[in-house]
Amino acid sequence: MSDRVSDHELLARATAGDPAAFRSLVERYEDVVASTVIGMLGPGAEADDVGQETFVRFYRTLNRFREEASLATYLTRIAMNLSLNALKRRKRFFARHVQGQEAGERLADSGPDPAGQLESGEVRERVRFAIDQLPSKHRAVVTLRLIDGYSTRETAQILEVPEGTVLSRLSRALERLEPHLRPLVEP
Amino acid sequence: MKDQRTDIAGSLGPLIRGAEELRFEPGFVDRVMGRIRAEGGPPVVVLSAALTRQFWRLATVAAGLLLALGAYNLLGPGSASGQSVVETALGLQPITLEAAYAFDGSLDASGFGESE
Repeated sequence: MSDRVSDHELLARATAGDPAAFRSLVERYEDVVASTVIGMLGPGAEADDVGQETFVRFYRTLNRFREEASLATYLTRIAMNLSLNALKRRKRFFARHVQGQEAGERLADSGPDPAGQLESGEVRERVRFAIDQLPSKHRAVVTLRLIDGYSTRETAQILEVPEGTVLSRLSRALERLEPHLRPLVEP
Repeated sequence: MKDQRTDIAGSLGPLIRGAEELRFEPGFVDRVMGRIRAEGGPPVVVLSAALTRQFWRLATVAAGLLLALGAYNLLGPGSASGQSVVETALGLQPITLEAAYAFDGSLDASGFGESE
């Protein structure tokens, strides 16, 4: 027997103004949102801020959620849109360019070592660097398909693009990731 | 090549999940709830929906009035003035030399109309 309250009930209570119910929803879906925004932006204050904004937006528009999609998918869509906006802002202020350049210089110095010989921090840095090189549209597909584990159809629904577009963007993203990540996955 | 990409695709997810902590810093829920409290407002914000409804009501009334005025201009007294349908519907006055001189006469030397 499970005492777990359903999303539907929590949503009804939250919409009626019960903050404890909304808090339970945040606790339940915190990791779903974290996976998307950190996958898109990398860890840090910016990702935390976008994660908070995702739930604040959701709170403000609780009455619009019709439960046609799962709550996880709905929150992921909000998180993805806000992450894409954050990437645009980042690009605008050249912050990403500077960070990427610094990381790129460090990685160029370190050479293509196999994963087993790299410290976990270096692996993290290499993976983050490789993802940061992707255009935001490709990064979104990689995050949803490979990190969050959504299917091609779900990814297409979240990004509001045809499934064929998801597949082609994924293919192009893998082409770009391959030179960076091949040394990390080779046995 | 395709197999290699499949390998990359299959190993990238676990690689990233293993490499990166895909979790927020502790206290995330408190930060969200604190932000909601700070920003205030009820959970159900229906202002935008109410504004949208009001807009469509006003837009419908305004469109009806525009059509009525256009129809009056086209079909009402003084409609047969030799202007185009658009000019008549919009109620534009015919531009004549007499009208231009009349306008010019209402300006003073500075071009800003009569001063008191």
